[in-house]
Amino acid sequence: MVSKQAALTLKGKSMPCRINIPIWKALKEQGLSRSAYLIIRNCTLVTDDEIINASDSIELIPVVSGG
Amino acid sequence: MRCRKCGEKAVINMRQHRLSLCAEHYLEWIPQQVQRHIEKYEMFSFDDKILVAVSGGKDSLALWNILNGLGYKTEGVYIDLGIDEGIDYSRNSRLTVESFAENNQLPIHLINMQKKHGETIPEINQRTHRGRRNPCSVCGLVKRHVLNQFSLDGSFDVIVTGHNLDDEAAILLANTLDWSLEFLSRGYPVLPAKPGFTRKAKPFCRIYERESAAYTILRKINFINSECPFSIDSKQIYYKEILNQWEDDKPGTKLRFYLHYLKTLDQGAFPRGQENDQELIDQQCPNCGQPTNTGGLCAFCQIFEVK
Repeated sequence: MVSKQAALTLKGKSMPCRINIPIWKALKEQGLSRSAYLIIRNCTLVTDDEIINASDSIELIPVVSGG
Repeated sequence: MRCRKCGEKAVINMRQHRLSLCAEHYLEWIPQQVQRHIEKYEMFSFDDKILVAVSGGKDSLALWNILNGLGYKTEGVYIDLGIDEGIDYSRNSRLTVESFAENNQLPIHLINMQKKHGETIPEINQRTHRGRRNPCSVCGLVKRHVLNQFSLDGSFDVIVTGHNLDDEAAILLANTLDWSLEFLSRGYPVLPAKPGFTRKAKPFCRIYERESAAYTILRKINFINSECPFSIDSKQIYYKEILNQWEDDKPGTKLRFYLHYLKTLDQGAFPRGQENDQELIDQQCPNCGQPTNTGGLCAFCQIFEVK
C-alpha cells in the first residue's frame, strides 16, 4: 500500500507532509515561509507550486542569513 | 510553472516580478539585472579597480562570480575573524574563499585579525561591553574599518559587498523602528569616496536573498552554508523573518519598501551626511588616521585602547 505522506527535509530533519498538494502549501502547514527557502526535489531546483508526490524527496534550503 | 522566455520547466518563480525562469535563462537574467543596477546607481565602471569583500557565503561569492563574468577588474579580500565556536567557522569560510579564488584564477587577499590586530572577534566580544551586548555590531565596525584601510593602502577605487535586498530591507526596517535618522540618511546603494573613505557599493541591493542563493546553487558555487554562531539570535534575522511573512502574503513588499525608501532619500527626506571634505581631513583619528567624528580616537581604535 502506498503511503499517503511524503516528507520535507530541512537541515537533516525530516517533517512529514501531505501529498497531492503544492509545496508552498506544505510549507505553510509547517509554519514555514515560502520566501525563506529554495526547494530541491530529486536533486533539482524546482518552483514551490510543484505538486508533492508520494515518492518525492524534497529538501528545503534555507536562504536567510545575517548578523 | 514554465519559463517565460522559452517555455521550459522553470526552476525559480520570482513572484515580486511575476517572472518564472528556467536555469539557463535565470543564469542570464541575474547578471543582466546586476549590470543594470550598477549603471543605474553609478556604482563603478569597467576601468575601476574593485575590491570585493568576500566571506565565503552565497552572496559575496555569487557577486564576485558575476562581476568577474561581466568583465570587471576585481580582487577579493577575506578577513579571518578567528571565529571557531566549535565549528571551525572562520577556517571553513577561508578555505571556501581560497578554493573559489583558485578555481576561478582570481586574486585574493587574506587579512588575519589575530595576526594584524592581536585579537580575534570572539576575544574582543568577550572583553568589551559592546561585544558582549551586541557582537554583530562590533564585528561590523571591525570589518568596515579593516576593509576601508586595506582599500586605501591598495589604492582601490571601490569596495563592493554582497549585501542583498533582504539585508537592506531588514536594516531599513530596524532603522525605521528606531527612527535612526543618521543611519537612514546613509542607506543609498553607493556611498561616494571622501577623504579617508573609499567608495562603497552594493550591486546586489535589488537582488533577493533567495535569488542569490538560487544563483550559487545553479552555478554550482560551493559556499559556506552554516550561520555565524554569533548571529543566531541577531536582530537582523528576526526582521528578515518578519519581512518574509509579509512577502508571503504580499509579494514585492520588501522590494517596494526599499525602492520607496530610495525615492524618499532622493527627495531629501533624510539629511545626508553633513561633513565636508575639509572637516573629514581635520577629524582624523590620531592613531590610525581614518576620519572620525568622535573628537579623539575612532570607534575602532577605542576598542583596542580599553584593553
